[in-house]
Amino acid sequence: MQYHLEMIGYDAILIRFTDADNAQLLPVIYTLNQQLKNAADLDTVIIDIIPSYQTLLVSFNILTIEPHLLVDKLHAYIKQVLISQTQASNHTLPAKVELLTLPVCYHKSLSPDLESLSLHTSLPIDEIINIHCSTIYSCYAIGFMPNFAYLGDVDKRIQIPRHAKPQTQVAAGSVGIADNQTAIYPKESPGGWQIIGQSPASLDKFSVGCQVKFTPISLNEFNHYQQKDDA
Amino acid sequence: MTTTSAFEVIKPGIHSLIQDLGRFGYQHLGITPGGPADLHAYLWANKLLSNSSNMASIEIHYGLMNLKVLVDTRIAICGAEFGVMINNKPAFNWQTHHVKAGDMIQYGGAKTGKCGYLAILGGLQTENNHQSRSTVIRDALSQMTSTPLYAGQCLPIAIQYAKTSTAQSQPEQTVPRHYIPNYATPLTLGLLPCYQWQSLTPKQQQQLLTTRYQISSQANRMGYQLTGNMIADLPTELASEGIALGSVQLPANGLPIILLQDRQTIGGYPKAGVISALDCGKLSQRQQGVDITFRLDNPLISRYKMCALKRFFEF
Repeated sequence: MQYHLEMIGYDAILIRFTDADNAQLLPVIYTLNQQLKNAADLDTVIIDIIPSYQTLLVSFNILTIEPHLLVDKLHAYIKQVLISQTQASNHTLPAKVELLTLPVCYHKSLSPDLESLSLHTSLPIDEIINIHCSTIYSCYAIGFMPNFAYLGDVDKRIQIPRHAKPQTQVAAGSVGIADNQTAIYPKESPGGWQIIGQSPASLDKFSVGCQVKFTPISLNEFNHYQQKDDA
Repeated sequence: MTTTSAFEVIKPGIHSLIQDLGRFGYQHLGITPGGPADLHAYLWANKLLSNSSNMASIEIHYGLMNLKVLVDTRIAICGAEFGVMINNKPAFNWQTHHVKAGDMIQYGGAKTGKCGYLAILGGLQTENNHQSRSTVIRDALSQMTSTPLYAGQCLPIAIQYAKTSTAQSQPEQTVPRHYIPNYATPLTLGLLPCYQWQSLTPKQQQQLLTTRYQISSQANRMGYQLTGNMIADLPTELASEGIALGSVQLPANGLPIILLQDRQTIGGYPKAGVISALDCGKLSQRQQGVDITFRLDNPLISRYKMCALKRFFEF
């Protein structure tokens, strides 16, 4: 697997993997992120790590290390992770990766774009829900806003591009689809994803590399969740 | 820690926030660092009071803030020139001031610059959320850390900093003239080429480095959108990647956006490089319409300057 390191300004290094698809890269990025986070020798060095699809951006304290020494250390960590991944024969996530099961209510009062997705895909709504809930998604990146997790891959049969013009207000908890990705808006926000339901779950458990499964709930169950939260 | 209210907000001003050095270690969750828009002025305000560099201060954008002082203590005023008055008497910028319970601190509009800092002895003790008191509106981590100052709000400090006899006996401290910047001049930003710089054509690189841009009306703590010659045929959007402070993003319309403290943590638009944290601060003090140009800068020199700053201000 090819990668290179690149200085970003004077206080960050971007680790970029170049020759693998996102699904292959995820276990590498996940493992590398964990190792760097827990590296005792980098404890006073690393300020932030932002893992994403093909990259990790590592920002560091310029008073505690010379950049070229950090580059050497990062090379060593990456090589070690790549070797262990190759030995794992196929690129799989470590067994301890968390699977989050999140309830989603697909009731029409909470899913403004589900009907147009049905028209777009020529699939009945029940079938769309069934497909959306039968995939185990991986979290490839978190961003846009706190705890907004980019989950993939959405089954080809229910993919749809985002709205050409973003909606000015998407409700908190809204579950959206944009092409091959699905995500939940942690809070009310403008947004362009096609909204097919709403989750009452708290969304502070995501991490890059975690796995996510949706399970359908009724409007009654949804309201019950909300009341529990309000209590 | 026992706290006491040090200020009552009479008028919040146009946009006044709480800032410490920022919220670090949470960008993997999409939580932006925030922190002072102008690091230089922020650090001096704390330094004048012998505060540690991470103590929370008020960051005042555009001015027009009025505070009532509730305790005897010391403050420092740095940054943009707002013609601050204490009890209707001019209070000099870039220095400390003794204040007493009942005093009124009044900010005018920004004469030069855009944002100023009011630091207080011992720092403000507002809510600490994810290890920072910085206000980041768009992250909505909590009510307190996502809301600008509002009328009637009381701002707490640790009780030992109210009415200390040592505070009263200290002479006023002033920033040496040499370190007081002029925010009214056009600005050349030092570009440290990285990210997708190599994917730009020589012509596009040249265009970025030779165009005289202006600051648009879209300029705030998230980013500064520039106007000027549009760069055509830019590389298309790529897989989202981590965005460093000062990233010079080139969206499809070909007009650079410089991403600042309240930026998104990841994004997929091509980026020509980054500018230094100090240049971000200088940019944040420039108002709409000011001329901005780029020149290539040397990361070694930027790092050296930043190391010197970190050592001097101890952070």
